[in-house]
Amino acid sequence: MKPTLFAVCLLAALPLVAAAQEHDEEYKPAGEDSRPSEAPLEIVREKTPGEKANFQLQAGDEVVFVVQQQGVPVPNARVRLVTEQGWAKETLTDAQGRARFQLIRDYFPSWIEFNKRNRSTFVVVAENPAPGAGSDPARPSTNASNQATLSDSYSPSPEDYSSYAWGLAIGLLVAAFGGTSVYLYRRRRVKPFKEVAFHEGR
Amino acid sequence: MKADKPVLAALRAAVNGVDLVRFRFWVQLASFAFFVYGGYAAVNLGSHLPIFACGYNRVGKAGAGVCYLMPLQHQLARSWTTLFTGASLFILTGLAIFALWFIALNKAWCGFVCPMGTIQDWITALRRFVGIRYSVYTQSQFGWLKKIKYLLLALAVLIPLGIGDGYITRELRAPICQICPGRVLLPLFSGDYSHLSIDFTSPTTVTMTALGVFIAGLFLVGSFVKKRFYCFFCPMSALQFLFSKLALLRLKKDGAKCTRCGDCYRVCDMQIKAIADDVATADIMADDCTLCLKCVAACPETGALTVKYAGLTIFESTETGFIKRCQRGHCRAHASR
Repeated sequence: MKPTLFAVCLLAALPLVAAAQEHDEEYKPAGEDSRPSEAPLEIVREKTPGEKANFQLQAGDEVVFVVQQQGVPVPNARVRLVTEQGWAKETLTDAQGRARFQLIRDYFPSWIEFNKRNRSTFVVVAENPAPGAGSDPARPSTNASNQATLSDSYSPSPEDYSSYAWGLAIGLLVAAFGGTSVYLYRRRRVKPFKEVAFHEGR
Repeated sequence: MKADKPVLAALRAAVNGVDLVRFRFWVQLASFAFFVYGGYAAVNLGSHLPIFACGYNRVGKAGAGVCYLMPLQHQLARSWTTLFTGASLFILTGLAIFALWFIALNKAWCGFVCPMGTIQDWITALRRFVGIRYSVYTQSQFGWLKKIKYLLLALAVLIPLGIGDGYITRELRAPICQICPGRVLLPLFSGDYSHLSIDFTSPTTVTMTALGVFIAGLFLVGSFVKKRFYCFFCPMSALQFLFSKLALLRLKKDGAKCTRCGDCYRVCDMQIKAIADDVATADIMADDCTLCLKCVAACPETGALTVKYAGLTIFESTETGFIKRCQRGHCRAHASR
């Protein structure tokens, strides 16, 4: 009876374990359910699905920025991402106003100086032609553009400094070594008694 | 009143004849589910619990509370100018709350509630099922091994104090948590395997995370061959024993009724010889005791071992209870495996 009940309890616990995995929050793309903005140009970082309040960008993450003009996504806007160390990448927004970048690893200190909480900053610059003759009527121009910037920071990826392989190796090594040691110790105690007998010749 | 007596006597007989193995199994299972997954029901008993309800079990805030050693180490790691002033009140308050939790159940927190104790008992059940004999310590080994938990408790206090005034690197904060097998194993039950990894950020983190995984491996192997292996070295056990004299739940021995059969020692997971040998001391609970009450269940002499709560006897050894448990197969057959 007890093993069966125990098995039932174990099966009942499985949904709890499944629930313990990260859930995806209901994902809403940028721009929906939000008040229309009046900014002539702005950059909004698109939230990743399942992003929690304490989310931090890490090296290697793909980050998506939406360029909007008065709340409306702007296609073919020039977007440039520049990191703290000077690495830059430029792209154009797609039909939905999205520009994708992958944050490169930009932090290469010596081992002793490595800080896993180091925050590397980057800035995103978006540019789009502006209609009309510019914002100053006294000085009309033939070409005008709006430019927006957004800065943020990111930290080193755990893949750069943590290793599951080493952890499992150490754990399994200890388990194997310990188990083998106990087994050999117990086998040693069941060996039959042996003695060496000397037969002295006449 | 007279009409109550037969009812009370029947209740007492039922309790004294309880199948302790089954009772303990269900209490441990329920406690394990509660303290590992209770957070999903928004249960939060705070961070002063006298058990290894791991604070790292935080995926979705799964646990129903946190082991007191974690906040204690963090609180002690404050600068001495903060610590040794009126701000030390928060440590005294924390200790008082821990003591209040502890005195409710004494060391039965270890024997019935602690998730790490439960895991060890499950591993022991697996070993018994496989049919492998368990190992025991010699008395001299027992003598010096039991001191390790006091050493670990001292380190849990001294290292954070050293961090607070800048003598020790902050990377060693919560040192007991960093090497505790609970940090590695308990989050696994809520799908968090991040603590299996080795952190190569610095030599200190490599050492501490490697030590944590090493001790987790040792925990699994040790628990397989030795009953309640980790409880010998548990710093929480050492901290609890400081308050055990105040506890409401007590284990008492009437030496006059003891026949020195040794059954209590044979069933004791912690190999406490005094439970059988000492016939002079009434308050027989030792510092290693987990109050699992197996000794009471295994004792064939009525009244030799009793469990009292606030002075009232709630469970005692009886001949009829012993016979009942033997008929269920829970007597010496258990002790010999």
